Amino acid sequence: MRKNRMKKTICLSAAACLLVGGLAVGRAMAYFTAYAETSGGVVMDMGFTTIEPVEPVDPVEGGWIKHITVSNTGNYPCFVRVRLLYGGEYTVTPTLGAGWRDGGDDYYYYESQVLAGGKTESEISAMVEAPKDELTDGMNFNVIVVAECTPVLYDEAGNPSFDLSWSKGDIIIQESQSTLPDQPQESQPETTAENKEGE
Amino acid sequence: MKKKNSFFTKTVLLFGMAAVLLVLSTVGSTRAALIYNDGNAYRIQIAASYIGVGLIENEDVVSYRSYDRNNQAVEEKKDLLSGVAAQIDKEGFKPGNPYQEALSVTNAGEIDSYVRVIVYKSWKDGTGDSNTVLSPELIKLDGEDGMNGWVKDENASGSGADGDYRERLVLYYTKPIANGGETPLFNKTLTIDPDVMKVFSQKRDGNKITTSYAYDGYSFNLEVEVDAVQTHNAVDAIKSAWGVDVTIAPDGTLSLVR
Repeated sequence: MRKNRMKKTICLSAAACLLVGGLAVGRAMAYFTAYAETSGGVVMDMGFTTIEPVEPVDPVEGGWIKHITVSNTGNYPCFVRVRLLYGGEYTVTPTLGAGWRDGGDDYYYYESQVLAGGKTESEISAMVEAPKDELTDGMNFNVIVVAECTPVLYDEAGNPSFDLSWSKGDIIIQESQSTLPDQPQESQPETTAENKEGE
Repeated sequence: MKKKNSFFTKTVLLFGMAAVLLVLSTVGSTRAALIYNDGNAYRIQIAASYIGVGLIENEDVVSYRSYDRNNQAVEEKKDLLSGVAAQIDKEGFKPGNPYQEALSVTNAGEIDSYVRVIVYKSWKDGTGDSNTVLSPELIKLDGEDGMNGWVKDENASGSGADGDYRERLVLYYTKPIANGGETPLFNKTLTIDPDVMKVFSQKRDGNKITTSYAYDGYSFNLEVEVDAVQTHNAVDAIKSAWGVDVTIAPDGTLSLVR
């Protein structure tokens, strides 16, 4: 008899536990919830960035003039700058066209972006003077034009940013060297490129 | 013998009552209405309120889910980032440019609710597989730190390149949304960091140099999930549905328990 009572008590306790547990599950399942989701993506067609300096040379009295412009032959708008390298026997006097300015760091900066497929709308005219007895036709005209570009980066307002582009963008370098005026149109670009961080 | 039968009857009765109580306890926010019929009889109509939620992108509902009177899910879904894609298609890719990506949440149900959003950012290749080497941090959302009453769950969101959840952002809106209501924006713009231009390799062929960008050909992707939960008994409901601890102030303001 006592054994039976014990059994009943255990059964009742177990049943009570089940009910209480079931009640908790019931409450959890009664919460109202909903969700919605979606997704999407955009493919980055980044292409490439590159430029080409153009620098025909004209003979003038007392020397030669290099007419320097830069073409954007890549897929992105870019900013460009130019540096002239030459030996001590030359005297080079650049005249900057509209939109160019001397950055004070040996570079001449074109302040507007150059669109893909476009070129600088004005030129740097570099008057070159050298001792005539040192120059012969066809020899290397040893004033090297170093043109550099950086892809246009945009500020928080979405405008092309000259400063941001030159400070954060990677810089691609192209060099070229002309020959003397009897072959004035032939430019022989020699290109190098490097990340600014590696400079 | 009679005593034994009586005990058995009582037990059965008690179990029956408990079962009824249990069933009734699962009927939460229901509404009952007595409706008069022409047949001089009354019938009881019980209609469950429903919950629903939707995502709004640039003033267009791009995804929602709610339920009809038969408790059947009603949903619709469109692709995200269609506006950004159209702009890039038209103007070309502009690194650093903030593209409009205005995101908010609407209550598409009948009851008030608390909501949260989970945003996943990723780079995918042409076959749709995620590339885990490319950095999701370069897909920048201006709402990443929370805005307009949205708070970031720091424990569940990525922080920096070494973050455990670098591709994920979890935001909670701190106020309940009334039915038909809409939250303020939790994001306004999407920007691809100009640093994507810094990862490249170059191949030289004579005078020609070809620059290949590591991110070229990959797509930047957003996946947004919006969750809603009832405001009634919200602390327990949120713990049960979302697994997070919150407190609810008397004015209904939700706070995450850190």
